[in-house]
This record gives sequence, C-alpha cells and structure tokens, in this order.
Amino acid sequence: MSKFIFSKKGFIGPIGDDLPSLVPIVVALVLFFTIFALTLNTFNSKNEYIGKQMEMTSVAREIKGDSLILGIDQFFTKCNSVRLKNFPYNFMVGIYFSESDLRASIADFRAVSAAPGMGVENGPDVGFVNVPTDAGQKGYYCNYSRVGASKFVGKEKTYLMRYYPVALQYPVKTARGDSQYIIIPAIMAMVVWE
Amino acid sequence: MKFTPNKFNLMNSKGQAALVDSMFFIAIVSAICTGLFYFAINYGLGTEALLVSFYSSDFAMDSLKVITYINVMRDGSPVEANPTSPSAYYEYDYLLALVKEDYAKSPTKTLSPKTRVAIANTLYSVLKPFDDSIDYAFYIAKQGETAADVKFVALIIATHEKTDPTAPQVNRVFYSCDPSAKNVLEKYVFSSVGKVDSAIGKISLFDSRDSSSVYVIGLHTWISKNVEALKRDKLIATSSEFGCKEMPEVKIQVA
Repeated sequence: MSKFIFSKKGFIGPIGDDLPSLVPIVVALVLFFTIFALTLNTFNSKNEYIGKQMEMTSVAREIKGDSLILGIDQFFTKCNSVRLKNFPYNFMVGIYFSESDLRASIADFRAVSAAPGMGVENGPDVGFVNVPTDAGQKGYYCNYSRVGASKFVGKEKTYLMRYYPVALQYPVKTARGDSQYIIIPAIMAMVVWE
Repeated sequence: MKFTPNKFNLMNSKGQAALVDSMFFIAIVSAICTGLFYFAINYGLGTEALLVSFYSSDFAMDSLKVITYINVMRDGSPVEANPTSPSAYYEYDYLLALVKEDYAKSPTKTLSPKTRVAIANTLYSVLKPFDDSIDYAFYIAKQGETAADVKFVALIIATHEKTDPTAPQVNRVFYSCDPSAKNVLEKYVFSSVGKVDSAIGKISLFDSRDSSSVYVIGLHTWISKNVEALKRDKLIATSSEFGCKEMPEVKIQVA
C-alpha cells in the first residue's frame, strides 16, 4: 500500500517525469539539424562554385582555342558554339589590348551588361579591342545570358573572373594605305555569374 | 544489521538512467556533427586547388604559346596596334623568327640583347594580369640526358624589388642571364619559392651549318617571394652562377 502511494508521488506524466533527460535530447536534435543544414548548404554552394569554375574553364578553352585569335569572325563563331540554350550560367567575354588597364574590366562588363540590347554582339564603347568590319566597328565582346537572368552587377562572391593571354591577329593600315595584319599580345577577360 | 534497499532511491535511479541515455545520445550526435562539420569544411578543397592549378597551368601555357605566335619590330620593340608613326609596320617579324636568326648567327648559340628585350616585353604584356603578385623565369635551353645537364640559350628572370628605398612600392625588374651553372633554377629558385607553375614546350633551332637541335622552351611562374638568391646583388654579382644583367630597356608601365 505504502509503495503504491510512494510511486504516485511527484508523477507528472510519462514526458514530464523524464523532463531532465529530454533537454539534452532536444539540444542534440537542434545541434544535429543545424549542422546538417549548414553542411548541406556548404556542400551545395561549393558544388555550385566548382561547377561554375569548370564551366568557365571549358568555355574559355573553347573560345581561345589554341590561344591564337585570327579575327572577329572566328571569335564569334567560337563564342556562338558555346552559347547553347542549356548552358547553366551567364557569361561575358571581352578582349583587351595588353597595354589596357585591366582594373577597369569589371566596370566595362557592368556597363555592357547594363546597356540596352544585352546579347547584341557590339556592346557600348568600352575598353575592348574594336576592329572595322563591313557593318562598322565591332568589339571583341560576346555574351550569353539565360532567360530571365539578372544583369551583371559585379558584386563580390557572385561572379568569377579570369584572364587568359591570347595572340590576336589585328588589321592595320600602313602609311602606303595597304592593309596588313599584325599578331599582338592581348588579354581575354571572362566573367561568369548567375 | 540487514541491508534493505531504499525504495525511494530505486525510484530515483530510473530518472538517472534516462538522463545518462540522453547524455549518450548527445555524445553520439556531437560525434556525428563533428564529422559533418569536418566534411563541410574540407569538402571540395582538393577539387578547388586542382581547378586553380589548371588555371595557372593554362595561363602559363597560353603565355608560352603567345610568345611563339606574336610579331615584334625587327629592333625588338613591341608592335603598336595604333601607331603614332605612319611607317611603324614596315619592319616587323615573328618573335620566334628573331630567336631562330639569333641562334643561327651566334657562335655562342645565345640570343642577342634585343631579342631578349622583345621576349621580356612580351612576357610583361601577357602576364600583366598577375604582374603584382607573381615572379617568373623564361628560358630556352638544350636539355641533356640528366636534369643538371642543361645548356641555356637564354634565361630571363623577372622579380619584384624595391628599387627606390624612399618609395613604399616594389617594382618589376627583368634580368637577362647567362648562367654558368646548369641547374641554377632548380638549385636556387625552385627550392625556395614554393609552388611553381610550369609550361614547357619544344622548338627546333637550326645553326649556321643547317643542323637542327631540339630545345626546350619553358616558363615557370611562382608567387612573388623575398628569396635571397633572387636579390639584385646575388643575381648580378660577378661571382653569381646566374650571370645576370638588368634589362632597363623593358617597357614597364607604372600604375
């Protein structure tokens, strides 16, 4: 009789009776799910970053080819070959003279991205190499943007940028008026963003 | 006295058991969380390092290719895309043609100072995106059967140094070297600078008797470091195995 009464003393239910042991369990579960979410987030963002870098490397290799760009037609042909509809990222590629100030390249890309007619091959007048064509001056600039893509803002950690040295065949006119081609060192700048 | 278990204590030990169980649970979860955290921190580091390494190697290889493609003026100065002088394009040639000419004409089988300046100007142009952070060595050499058996046709080293003691910044300085020792780069540079990204190709050079030899053309880049062997007094000293001379003719742009 006394045992029965004693066991009823302080009994506040199956959960309430184990309240002190529930606290570490809840803490453990919160800790686990927090770390799990953090890991999953890190895993996804690193995968995305690696994927972006790999895509950028492959696109850059495709466009620069053997590091010799023979003319603007060849440049656009190569660029068009990678501007496929299912390409996962937006990108812009521009070629600078080697003596250009490359610190302005982000601003240049931002300008051409913000300009109306993004996706048109000859962007606004920025620092890219321009050459005369039948349709007027044309810049060594090409881009690809997915449907509904945001414009390039150049905000840190949202884009990847790489420079590649290339040899560029460039048309010049001599004092006698005849056309010649010289091969000069140039820098291909490429930016990839989402 | 006979021991009788206390009923109150028995009841209490049930609660302690649940508490110990939960402590075991939190210990297991902590171990799993530590593992997950470790995974999150380290995941992809190897792949990222590999991709950066791909880029560095690509860059060095592209630079080397550009050197073999481009035109320079016959006097070694760079061709200008938008020249101020109207007769600027009469006397230009491939840089590689200048290298081959020099090699064929030179009794010592080394390159002339103007060709070395042309190479240095080109190196400076193509490596400009990383000019602030890297140093590099370019060479054309005949590779022997062993690593130490190397005969240099040209060795150009680009370093950063403080040329003006009153100015805060360091400047790019080019050296043209004719090493007396065969393995100077391995011995003094590669052993001290850490990770080196390399691009190596092969070219054929013909001498005046029209006999050809295969030469190695190489570009090694590394993150700029204050290395004792690459200091000016060590490089240009008469006793130095590098046998370098400064190249003030190289056109360095000042920011």
